[in-house]
Amino acid sequence: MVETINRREFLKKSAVLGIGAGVLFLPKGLRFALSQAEAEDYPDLVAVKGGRPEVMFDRAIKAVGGMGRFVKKGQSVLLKPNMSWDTAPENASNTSPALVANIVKHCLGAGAKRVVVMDHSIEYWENSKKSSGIEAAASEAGAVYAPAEKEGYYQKVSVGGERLNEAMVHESLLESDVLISVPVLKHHGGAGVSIAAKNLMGCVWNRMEYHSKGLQRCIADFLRARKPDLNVVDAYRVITRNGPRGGSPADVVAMGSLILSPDIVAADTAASMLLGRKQGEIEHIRLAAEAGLGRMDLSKLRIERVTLS
Amino acid sequence: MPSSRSYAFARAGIAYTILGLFVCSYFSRSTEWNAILAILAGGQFSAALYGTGVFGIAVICTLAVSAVFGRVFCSVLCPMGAAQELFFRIWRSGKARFVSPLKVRFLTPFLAGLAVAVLGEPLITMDPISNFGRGLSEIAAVLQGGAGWREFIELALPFFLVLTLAFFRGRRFCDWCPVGLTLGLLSSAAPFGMRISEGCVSCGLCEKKCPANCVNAREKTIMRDRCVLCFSCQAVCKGGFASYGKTWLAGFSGRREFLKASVARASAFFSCVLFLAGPSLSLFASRGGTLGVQREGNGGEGSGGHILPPGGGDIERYLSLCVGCQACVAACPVRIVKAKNSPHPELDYSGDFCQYNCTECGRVCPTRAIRRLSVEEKRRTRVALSSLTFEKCVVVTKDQACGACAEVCPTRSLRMVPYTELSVSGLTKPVFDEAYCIGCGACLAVCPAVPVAFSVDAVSQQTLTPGIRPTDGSEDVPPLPGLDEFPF
Repeated sequence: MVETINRREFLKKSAVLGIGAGVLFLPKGLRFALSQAEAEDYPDLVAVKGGRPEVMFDRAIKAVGGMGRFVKKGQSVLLKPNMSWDTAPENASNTSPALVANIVKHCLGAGAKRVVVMDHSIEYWENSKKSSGIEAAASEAGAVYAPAEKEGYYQKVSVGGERLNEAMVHESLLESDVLISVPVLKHHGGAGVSIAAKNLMGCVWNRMEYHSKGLQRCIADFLRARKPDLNVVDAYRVITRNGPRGGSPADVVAMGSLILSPDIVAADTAASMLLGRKQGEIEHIRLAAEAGLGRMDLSKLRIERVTLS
Repeated sequence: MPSSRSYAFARAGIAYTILGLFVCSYFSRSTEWNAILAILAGGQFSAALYGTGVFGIAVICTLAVSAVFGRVFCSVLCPMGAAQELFFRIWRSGKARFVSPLKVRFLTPFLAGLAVAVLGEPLITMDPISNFGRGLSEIAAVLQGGAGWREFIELALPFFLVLTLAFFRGRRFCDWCPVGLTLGLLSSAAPFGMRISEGCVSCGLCEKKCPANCVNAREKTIMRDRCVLCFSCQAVCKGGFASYGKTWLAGFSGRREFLKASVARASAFFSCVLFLAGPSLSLFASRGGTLGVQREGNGGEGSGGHILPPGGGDIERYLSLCVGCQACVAACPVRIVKAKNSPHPELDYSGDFCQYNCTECGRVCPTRAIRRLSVEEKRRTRVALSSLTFEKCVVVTKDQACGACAEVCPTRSLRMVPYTELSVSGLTKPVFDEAYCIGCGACLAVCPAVPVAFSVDAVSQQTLTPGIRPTDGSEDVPPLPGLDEFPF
């Protein structure tokens, strides 16, 4: 059967194409205004409290226009949780498995071709993936657990940072169209806090170079290579001191919160404030903001605060 | 009535299956195989003898079965035996010849004496599971890119010698093996065994097929103390004369034969005493006796750098029980249990660190040289002690944040405190509290300083620490904002 096209349809399609082409050739300023107008429909940051992590995520993602805004049909997604430690979810050193599973479902619901979950584990990877409960939860939700325990899974990429020039980055990061950082908020003895930016260290093989070259600077530097398209900070249970591995229930506080933002600096700033830190106090967040990798001044952002009952 | 071949097939199936399982569990990097490895290694005679003494269940069962039915253990359970037979079948099957007992046995006391004199560890030097395990784990280490050639030659050479000998001559190692000798002595007078009945025409087929070289076709005899019950002779015998059955009335063909066999047996007995004395003396030593086993790395203070796997206790106890089978080496998920200067594995922190929640090495140890610790106990067992040289820390040398050691320290012996009172950038430095250190080596493994700011040293005795350093309120963290509202 030969596909035919009638005149009305032809006109319609031409019009659409024309507008599309027109937008491309619009003056830069006007195009920027248009895109801003689109973004302004949604808040820059959503903070939710008073529910299970997965429930809070449902609410937060709805506020920013649904997962479809970040994940397009047929794209592949890398979901990067914290699952470096051979500890149970109650210990709060790994991201909540239910939250990870729910984000996987949202991604697949938005038409993602493939959702990958990975972390370069610090403790023995097979134990960490089991104890954290993330591999089981994510796989059940339809994600792929990518192994990351061998150097062969990583490729050298140029970062072009001040201290971090190049890094061995996990292949799943290079293959993915969309990167979502899903950290658990926690205290960190060296970096001060461990949130979305610190979480991305788990995509890197030569992690120890961060420590020898300057931890704070390298965490900020890595964002030049790849910034997450979305950041979901799990602050349901939070290690408030002696982090990031934890181990004592006395250090874990049930904050019951979740922060979501496409802007990694904004998400990290807001989350660090949950731990009592001041804006700009954490060096790597400040350095990232100074490098223009995101916005730190929360007073200039549109924030939606939600308390679930 | 099963055909004459069915015994041989069934037995070969079991023996090679066990060999295969052994090989898989030694080569696999996954901990899933460790449950199988624990059972396989635990069933080994010498390991059971070391672990539980002469009155252990596995030891008594093996001895009793051998005394009644012959060397069943050597037939199906011993992986070294099956491996030799595999090599024998490649080329020499059908070309073997009877080897007289005197010729075989005169080497045994000599080798045993040599082992005692040179190595001081007769059983470990000649033990089948120890040699098998050492060979396999060294091959695995080389294949997985983590072995030095010196260790490979030192530890795996006997394994390759045995297999080479097997390739040319059959299961000859079994004539010198301490387990084979012991069980052979018992089975030489067993009421059941292989025998050649009336009617045999001495065609010699069985002799040519015998991997143990114990069938004498001309004399129509099978030396039952050397027979490993492979049933090859039964399978190959056209007339069904070689078969398994009652043997208690079978005599010797002549006075000369009897004398030869007796001399050989006396020699075997002498070797057995030597071999068995090893673990017995060691057992006494571990029970607080004075017969300490003097070995390298055991002189004077501490344990001479030998960091024992968690559950090893102290070096005397550990060395007196360890047969060097390398099951722990195969079991360790992060491959830090390694045999370096002796067949007795120790912890090597050059590549990774001991995992806080892991008890795999103790789980598979067949002799309990590495005790089975509960996870709770393991988390508190100090296997070594770390120490921090603060001047080498990157916080000092480079004035930059790190915290890698405190991050990985599972017991929080290491924590980060403000570097100076006026620290504006939030720079923190590590502080080490050795009371909680279990010596897992995590700090050493992650320290980015060059040279490394940590050293982890062996302790003379493994002890229990109080656990995780409790939160004492001295942590330098800002007060938390109220939980009712967002602080931004």
